[in-house]
Amino acid sequence: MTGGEREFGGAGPGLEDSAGLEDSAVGCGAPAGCTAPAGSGLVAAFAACCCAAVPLVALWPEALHACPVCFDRDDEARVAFLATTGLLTLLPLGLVAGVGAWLRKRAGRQEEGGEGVPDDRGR
Amino acid sequence: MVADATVLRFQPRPHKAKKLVSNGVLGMILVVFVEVMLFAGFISAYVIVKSRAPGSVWPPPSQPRLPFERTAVNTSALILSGIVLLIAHRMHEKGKPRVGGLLLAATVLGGAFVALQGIEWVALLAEGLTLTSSTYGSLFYTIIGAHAIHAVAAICALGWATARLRAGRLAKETLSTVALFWYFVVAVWPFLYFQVYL
Repeated sequence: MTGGEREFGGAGPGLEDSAGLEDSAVGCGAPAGCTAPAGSGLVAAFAACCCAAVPLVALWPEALHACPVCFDRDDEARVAFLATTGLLTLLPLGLVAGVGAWLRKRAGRQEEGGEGVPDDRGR
Repeated sequence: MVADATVLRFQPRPHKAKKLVSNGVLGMILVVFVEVMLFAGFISAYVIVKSRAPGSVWPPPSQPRLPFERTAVNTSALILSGIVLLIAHRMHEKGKPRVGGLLLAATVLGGAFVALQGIEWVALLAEGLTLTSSTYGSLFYTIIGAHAIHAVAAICALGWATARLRAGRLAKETLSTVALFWYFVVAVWPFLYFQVYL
């Protein structure tokens, strides 16, 4: 067997291999002993960037003037940006909430004794 | 001599929960989600371009005006088609007869909407409103054209459902799936009409 091969059913990259990750227990840059799931280091880094951005924006607020939603010179354009931002933010949430409410209502009716839907596979 | 035997305890099959919605309807709900966001994006783009028009003049002075009154006829046909389909859908769910005629009427009304839209487009092209004549033209044909494609697809599905009904092979859930898509096509149109044509 060559160096890169492994026998089927043999020792794969199991627990004994993960012990080799000495510095990072979850392989995401977190210190050894960290029990956080993989990827949480990325989330933490993002959160740190967000926290760092707050004082920067407080110190240099001019950067925010590039945002067309809040600082467009034209009133009509500003209102349009705000309206579309609101629409595109709230619409998916409303859709999910609406379907959730409809399913809940349907489940309630089914518990009261209604019939489930027939299986429509293959029709 | 008693042989060693493994005693298998009787275990009833786990209770299978009843489905809340059929596979088809659930899939169509997801498709409609995606389509709603697509048209929301189109409307957002239109609103922003309109708000940034030079001198706040919209439509651009060099471009022809859209026939708001004439399109009201198309709109009526589409909405009527949705109402007829709703009645047919309810009747089919209750197992009532004579649904085929209503389904056919909904399909024909939908076809009339698309045909009238086509006539309107020919007139607009002759007047100089093309896909490349201005941002106004490109937005108009993209948004209304996307809706027309959806309408044609839904009409084909309605025609297919009508044929299956006549053959006595149309399941309630299948009609619900097709009807859901047509309801979406009907429901999104007034937003486009008042935003783009007015």
